[in-house]
Amino acid sequence: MARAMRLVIDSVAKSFGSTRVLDDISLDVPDGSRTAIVGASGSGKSTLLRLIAGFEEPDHGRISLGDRVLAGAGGRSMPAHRRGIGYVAQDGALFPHLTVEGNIAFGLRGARDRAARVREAMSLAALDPALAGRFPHQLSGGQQQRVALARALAPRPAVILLDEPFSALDTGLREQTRRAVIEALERSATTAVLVTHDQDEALTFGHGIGIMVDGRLAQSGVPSEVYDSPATPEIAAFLGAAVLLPATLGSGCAECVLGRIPIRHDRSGAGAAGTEVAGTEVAGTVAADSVASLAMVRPAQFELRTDASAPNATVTGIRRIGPITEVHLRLGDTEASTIELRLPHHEVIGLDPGVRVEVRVDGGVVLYPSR
Amino acid sequence: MTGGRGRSGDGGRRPPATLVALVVVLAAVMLVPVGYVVATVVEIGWAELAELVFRPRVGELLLNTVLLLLIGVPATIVLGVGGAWLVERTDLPGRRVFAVLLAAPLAIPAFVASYGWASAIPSIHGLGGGLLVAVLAYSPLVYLPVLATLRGLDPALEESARSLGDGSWAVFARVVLPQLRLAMLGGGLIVALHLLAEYGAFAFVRFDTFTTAIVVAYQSTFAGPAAASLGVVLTALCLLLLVAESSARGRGRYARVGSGSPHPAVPIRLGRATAPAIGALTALVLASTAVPLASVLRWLGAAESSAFADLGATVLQTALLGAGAAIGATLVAFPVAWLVGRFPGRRVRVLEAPYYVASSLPAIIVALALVTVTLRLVPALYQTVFTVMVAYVIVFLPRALVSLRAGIAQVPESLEEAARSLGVSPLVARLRVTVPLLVPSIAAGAALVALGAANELTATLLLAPTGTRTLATQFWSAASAVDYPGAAPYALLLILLSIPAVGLMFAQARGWRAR
Repeated sequence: MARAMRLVIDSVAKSFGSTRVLDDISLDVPDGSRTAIVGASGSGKSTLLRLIAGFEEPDHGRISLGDRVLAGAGGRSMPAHRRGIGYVAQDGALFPHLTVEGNIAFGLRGARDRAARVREAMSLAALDPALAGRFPHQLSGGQQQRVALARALAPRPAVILLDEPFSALDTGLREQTRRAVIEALERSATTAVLVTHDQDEALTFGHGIGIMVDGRLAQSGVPSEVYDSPATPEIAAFLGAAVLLPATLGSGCAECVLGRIPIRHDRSGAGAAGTEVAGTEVAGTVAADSVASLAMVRPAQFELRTDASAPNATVTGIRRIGPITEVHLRLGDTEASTIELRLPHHEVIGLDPGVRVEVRVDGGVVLYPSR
Repeated sequence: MTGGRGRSGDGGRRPPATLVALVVVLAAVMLVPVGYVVATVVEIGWAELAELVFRPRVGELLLNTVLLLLIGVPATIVLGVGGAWLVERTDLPGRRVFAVLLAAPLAIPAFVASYGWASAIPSIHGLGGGLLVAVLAYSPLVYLPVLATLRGLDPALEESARSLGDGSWAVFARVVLPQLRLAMLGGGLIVALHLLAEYGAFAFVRFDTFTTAIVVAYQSTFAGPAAASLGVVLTALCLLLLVAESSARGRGRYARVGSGSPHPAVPIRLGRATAPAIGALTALVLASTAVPLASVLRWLGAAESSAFADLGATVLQTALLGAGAAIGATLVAFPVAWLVGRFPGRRVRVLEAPYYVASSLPAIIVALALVTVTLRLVPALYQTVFTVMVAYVIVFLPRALVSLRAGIAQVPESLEEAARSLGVSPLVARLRVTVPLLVPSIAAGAALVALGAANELTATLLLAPTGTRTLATQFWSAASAVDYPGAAPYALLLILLSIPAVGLMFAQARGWRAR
């Protein structure tokens, strides 16, 4: 349906007054792909989206779509309405004086097949045709966001930008709407950029992910690879639960309280096993002579063995939370390292505080320099 | 009117230079009356001005005006707050009916109410008469903002105070009243400015204020030093009131601070106070609405058919002048409201202030200024419809400005951005998205301006071309000649004309932060 094109952001910077909001951002969004930009509040992700949409102009750098330069060509920017870029705002920004149909048809100028295009866009966004005559205030939050998406898709934009479109929805509706939006984007093969502060949303959105930290794109790449091999311990913690264990490097393995664990990726700069994961780009460099001393493990990698031949942890507490049980463990013999594992009930039968167990790590660790 | 790239020092985007320039030029026009007062002081000179100001007659006027303010403003606050609290927070029987009736006096122009009282009880006069008429006519100006604030107040605050051991009266005094401070001060300021500006109502009850004295001086010596010097004192009083109100606002927070949805307040049981409360409100409604209305109807019954002869032409002229004022005020208000709504910040607030200062001056000062300026600089504009329009715009601009500003604030920029992302140019986005959404605000502001212009007496008497007949001037012409039956048809039309606008104001007050 869409005329998908490659979106390239090259060394873009933006300041408001003396505040640097974006600093040297470069990002490549391939044709028909979905990329999520995730970051904390104030990290500059929404500003980046507004620069792409044409609502703000970059101070430096260049933004291009296919062979068209949108901003940065001799200082002149292409106005937002000529860019062919759809935009879905956080609150949907539906025109309150127009019906669903009026909203979706807003960007269709002189289209003979107007009604058909509206129906098609509604179908793409999984909207019930019976809603066409309703006004925005007569819709639920999820329906409003789908109308906003249908409205943005109707003119067949080259790229669609989504500015935290699910953040105002409650949990159940958010998941349902997110799925509907992803399906609609998939069916229309539209290139999409999503901005969000929700890590799960970013990791499940699509093909690419970018992590914004303080106005910089700290890391970008394929979601699974970025999650498995975060550039820094901070990004690791931001993307999901991460356990950081003090470790030393030896014979291509990390020596830590859990024993010798293979290194999946070495970001310590100490020259151990592991190389840069293909397709993952990291901003900045790591000092070559730094000593590896932190090993990052995701909780899902831990395997708990109660028939321990070589116990390396002690159960310090058990807490039942609905369908699962949270097991608190002290690793080794000191109080320094503690972890919490969430396991199904049947896997923790017989576990009580004080019981010695063995914790193994499946899949290796990511190694970082000491802080 | 698009936003520029940079951000102003206030943190917002920098407004376009053309928009700022337009707002500055319009502000300069709005400040003509202030300029007139300053020029008068310079021209007359301190010595002569002191001679004109420091004389027994001015002292007498000052005493009258100060007493009017000192008694009248607190009285309207007591009536306004008391009425609003009774209908909004208690289980008073018939409170919905009383809620409407307490706003009803706004539909009766003060000079018509005064005509009603003075023609019914001719012995009413002086300070007592002035206070009676003015307090009854203007108490809704406090009642409506207080009612709106009470409706927006989170009852959880009162419940918290109760849980901490306060009784009903203590809760009212320690929690509710402080939250009503801004509404009381704002309403009180508007009442005070009306008291300073009112002419017709006080002329009927033979109570002299600066405004009535200026009109008399103008009638005898035209725009001479006597009228001008009184105008200087009146302007000084107005500016003093503005400063006093601004400094009395304090720095406390008056908005709801908690999250979660507010819930309706549980009405306070009046118990044995029910009968006195009903009695007091009934007396207030009878005095403020029933007496003037009955008086108008009584004189209408005695009117001869000739009293109705000019009615059609007068209504037409009034409608045309009102429509002109509404269009003019809306056109002037739009760039200012856009600047304030889209580019908020300290500098923009400074640019906005002159518009309110100019409009707070009594119409008589605006009229004197325009008479002087047109005669000296552009004689061709003296006593023309254009000059009357300029006066109306200066006097009634805040009605359009406040309404438009609120409307623009309710249309988020993200709507225009969404339209632009759909391939629509900024201008077309505004025409297709913003303007349709502003129609209710434009209409409400324009209606209030038109109503104000239709009821305006002082500036119209001084500025309108010979032969101009508005409902207010025709009413005045008959009533001041003690032709009460002849004035009655105009009085009734003025009241009928005001009802929709008062209904609109009441709906806005009730709907404020609707639950």
